[in-house]
Amino acid sequence: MFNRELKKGSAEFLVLSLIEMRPRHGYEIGKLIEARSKGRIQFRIGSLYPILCRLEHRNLIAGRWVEKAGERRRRFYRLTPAGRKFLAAQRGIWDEFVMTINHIVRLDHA
Amino acid sequence: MLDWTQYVRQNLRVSGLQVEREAEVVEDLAEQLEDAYADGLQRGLSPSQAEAATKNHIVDWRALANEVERSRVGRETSMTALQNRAEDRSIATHGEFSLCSGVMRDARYAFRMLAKSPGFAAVAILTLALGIGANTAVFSVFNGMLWRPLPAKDPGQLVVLTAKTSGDAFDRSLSYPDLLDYRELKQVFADVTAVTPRPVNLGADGRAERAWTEFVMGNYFSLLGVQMVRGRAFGPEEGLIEGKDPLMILGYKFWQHRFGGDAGVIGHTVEVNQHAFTIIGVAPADFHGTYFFIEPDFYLPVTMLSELEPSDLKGLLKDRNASLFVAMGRLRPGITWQKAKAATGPVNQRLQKLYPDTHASYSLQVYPELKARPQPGAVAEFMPEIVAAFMSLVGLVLIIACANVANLMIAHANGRRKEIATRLALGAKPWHAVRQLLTESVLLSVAGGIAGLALSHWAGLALMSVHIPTDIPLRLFDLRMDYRIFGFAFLIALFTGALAGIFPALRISRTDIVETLNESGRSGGMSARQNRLRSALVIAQVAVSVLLLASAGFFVRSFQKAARTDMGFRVDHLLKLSVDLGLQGYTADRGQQFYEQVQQRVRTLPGVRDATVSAVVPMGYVADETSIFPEGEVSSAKSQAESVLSDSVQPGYFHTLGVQLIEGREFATTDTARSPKVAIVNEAFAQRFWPQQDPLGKTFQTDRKGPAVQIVGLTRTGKYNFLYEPPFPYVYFPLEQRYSASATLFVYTEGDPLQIAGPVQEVVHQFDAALPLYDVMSMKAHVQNGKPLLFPRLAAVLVGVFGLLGLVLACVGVYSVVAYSVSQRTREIGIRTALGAQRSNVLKLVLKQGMIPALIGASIGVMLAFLLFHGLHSVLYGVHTTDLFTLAIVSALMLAVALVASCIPALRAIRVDPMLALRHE
Repeated sequence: MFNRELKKGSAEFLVLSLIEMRPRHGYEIGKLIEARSKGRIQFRIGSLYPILCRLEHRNLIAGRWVEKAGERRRRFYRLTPAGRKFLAAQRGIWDEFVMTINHIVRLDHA
Repeated sequence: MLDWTQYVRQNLRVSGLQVEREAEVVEDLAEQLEDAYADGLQRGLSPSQAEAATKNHIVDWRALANEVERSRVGRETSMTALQNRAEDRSIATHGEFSLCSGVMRDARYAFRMLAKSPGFAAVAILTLALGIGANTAVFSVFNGMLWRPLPAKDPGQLVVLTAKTSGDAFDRSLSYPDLLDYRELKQVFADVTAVTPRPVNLGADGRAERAWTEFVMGNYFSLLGVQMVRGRAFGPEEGLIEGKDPLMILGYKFWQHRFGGDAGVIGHTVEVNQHAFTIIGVAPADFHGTYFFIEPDFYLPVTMLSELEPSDLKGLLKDRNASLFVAMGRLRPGITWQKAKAATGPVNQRLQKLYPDTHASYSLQVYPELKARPQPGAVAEFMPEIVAAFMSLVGLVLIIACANVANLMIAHANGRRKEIATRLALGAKPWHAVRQLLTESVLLSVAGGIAGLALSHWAGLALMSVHIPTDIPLRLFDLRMDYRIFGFAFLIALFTGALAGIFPALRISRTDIVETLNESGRSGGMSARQNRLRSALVIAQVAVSVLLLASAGFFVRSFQKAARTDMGFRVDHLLKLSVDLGLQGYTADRGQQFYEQVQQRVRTLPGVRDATVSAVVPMGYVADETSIFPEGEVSSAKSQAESVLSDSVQPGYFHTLGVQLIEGREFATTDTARSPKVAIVNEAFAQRFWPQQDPLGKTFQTDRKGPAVQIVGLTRTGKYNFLYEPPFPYVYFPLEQRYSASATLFVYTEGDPLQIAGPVQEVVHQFDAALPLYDVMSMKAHVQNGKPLLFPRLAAVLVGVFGLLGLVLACVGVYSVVAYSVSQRTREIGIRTALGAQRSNVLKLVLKQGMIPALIGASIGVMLAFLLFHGLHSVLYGVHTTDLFTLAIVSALMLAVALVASCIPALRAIRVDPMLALRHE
């Protein structure tokens, strides 16, 4: 629904936010984005996986194999301390960005 | 259902990834696709629809592969996962990232980390345990011998008293009358006491045996402040008047094994040399007497000494020349030993004036008790050198162990370089990284210290079980644990941990952050600097190990030489057994008769070639001395007698003992108490008194008014007291002309001397069934395990063990360095092989890694050993300063071991498959 550029720009932010509270595995992250956006944002595995790789490469997230009883082992991704810092900074920037944009857009309307 | 793993493998074409990473990506993607498929089925799609929808998740495999390749991620190790968790907690509690925030936290973390690498931890701990254990064991020996205070009240106030005259090299013990004179110096000595050890004959419960006692002054136990565990000590009124108070206090050990620890033994009567004594007390378990090396079976009042001695020795307590007593004093509070010594001047001068013959320039020596071990005077003064020599040798083992652990730590820490760099990049202080790594190494060494204490305890038990063939209750090693040993082990563990950890820690904390992080996927190779450091450590290890091996070699060669020394008497086919007729109340006449009968009868036994009785055992624990006035010198008033070691022997002695007679004759049955006095001397005796002359027919006297003794035979100079003694004069007298109440029967046998021990003992008991026989053994056992070779053997074994330890540790060191470098250079080796390098080239490449430092180290070690030679020259018997043979052997041994240690990883290197190796990176 949203265009490609918008999605790409916010994807990392979305992933980091979703694993902030607890580690999640790759498909779960995609499903959560879909569910929370009520289907408006969808990531296919083919597009989400490179994002995970990049984030891990930058040491913002870390993947770890976890084996739960009665299930196959899955790779769970968690925030690293650096990722946590990065996420906090991004949030600040995002809030400011949204506020600024709103300010401009709404003002124009008014 | 489709195999999604297979599906991903078929479609995803990545290159340049580590094998493990590639597998991880494949598995991760396959899992996600499988989740998507399951999800589709759940939403009500048919299997084929779900499969199609799932396949739709990844369309552009090429793009995905590119993305994955671009963002290479190091394989996650359990280590980084652990650290992530630790960091998370750190963030939770402190709000900011810090590598560590407390020593306990460091320790906990270090513990978890080591638990994750059990192999590394085990090798490091074992290495440290060997190093620390060897050091603690040697420390324990000296601790028991030199540093553990007596179990007495205020041991710091105790002093040992000896005497010296101007010519004496060694201190001499005090005579009883002299002792009483010095006891009057009440202004410095609270009290003075004395002991003298003696063998006696004990009869209790109808059994007779030889036992060792200490004759002590009545104030002995009260002066020391030692409390009895049963009964009481001697009272203040006891042990003052000669012949009164036949009382006995048992030593704890003797009480346990002779009387079964029976408390009812107090008040019982036992017989000592056929005199009745009453047991009144038992000394405590930790009290072993104050006469070093001998633990007496029981204690008797010194005033009973004359009663128990054979008649010719009566009056010992009145004789100013009977220097028998080891004297101890307790200083008054506030008096130093120097002050006490200064206060003895007037008594010294009085004795010098009153007894000019025997007490010329006589003076009392005062030593703090701890400075008088194991024997006051010259021996005690020499001890620091012995301690230093052994502690340095065993310290070398510790240094090798340190280098080993440092090496392991470098390799280990290197694997964590990237993670540490990340931490530093995120603001951790370098000091924190150093502290963390140091905590790990100290933790390792403390664990090593605990294991080392256990090892040293076992070593101690082994050492204490060394049996020395004599009936004297010797107590050479006291290796009980005490706080000094624990403290020592703990301190060297800390020191070792710090030493082994500091280099790797400093090295790693100086990591170039940018460079390390840019290495990205690579698990972190060795920098050239680190390789140099590790090689330097190997060089040091090998050098020290060669030095240790060389020392071991010298000691072993010295021992071999000692064992081969011709001592001048027969060692094989010789049985000996000793009796003490004096303790049984024999008169000289009856004793002579007994000796003669025993000799006659034993000679007739089958398998016996010859038999003889002699007063002294060569290289034994007891020696006789005689004053010699050579002919023509007695008349001059100024003449001084010369004291010479002597022996009284039966005819047949020289044949039985195999002592070579060069000139003249053996003693004969015609040399009796009534015939002219004769003697046989050794070459050194002849050389000393009549240089360049024939000694046969010359005469001497043994006291100014005594008859002339004519020399009838000349023997070769042998060894009489110590292996290392210079040749010195020795004189033999016929036993008939010079009786000895204690004597040893020697039996020269055709076969194994021990086989004849039973029949010989039977013969002796036919003449006196109640006579205790002691020291029944072959001459070979006496020489091998007794005084002659015991200490060279112990030293050789001890230093040999150090050498082996060093060799093993150095071997591990070489191996770990080469093995690590091979694992680091797999790719390089792969490329070389791919480019056509022969296996032999690869082998050479890897072997060089181990053998070059080993060669350099061995050369340095040989040079150090040369220097060491000069230091040990005086201690080692018969080894020359250029014992190239030993040096060549130990260098060859070290290099061979290093070669084997390098070969194992080298062989692994030549089996490297170039394709695999190249894919690996």
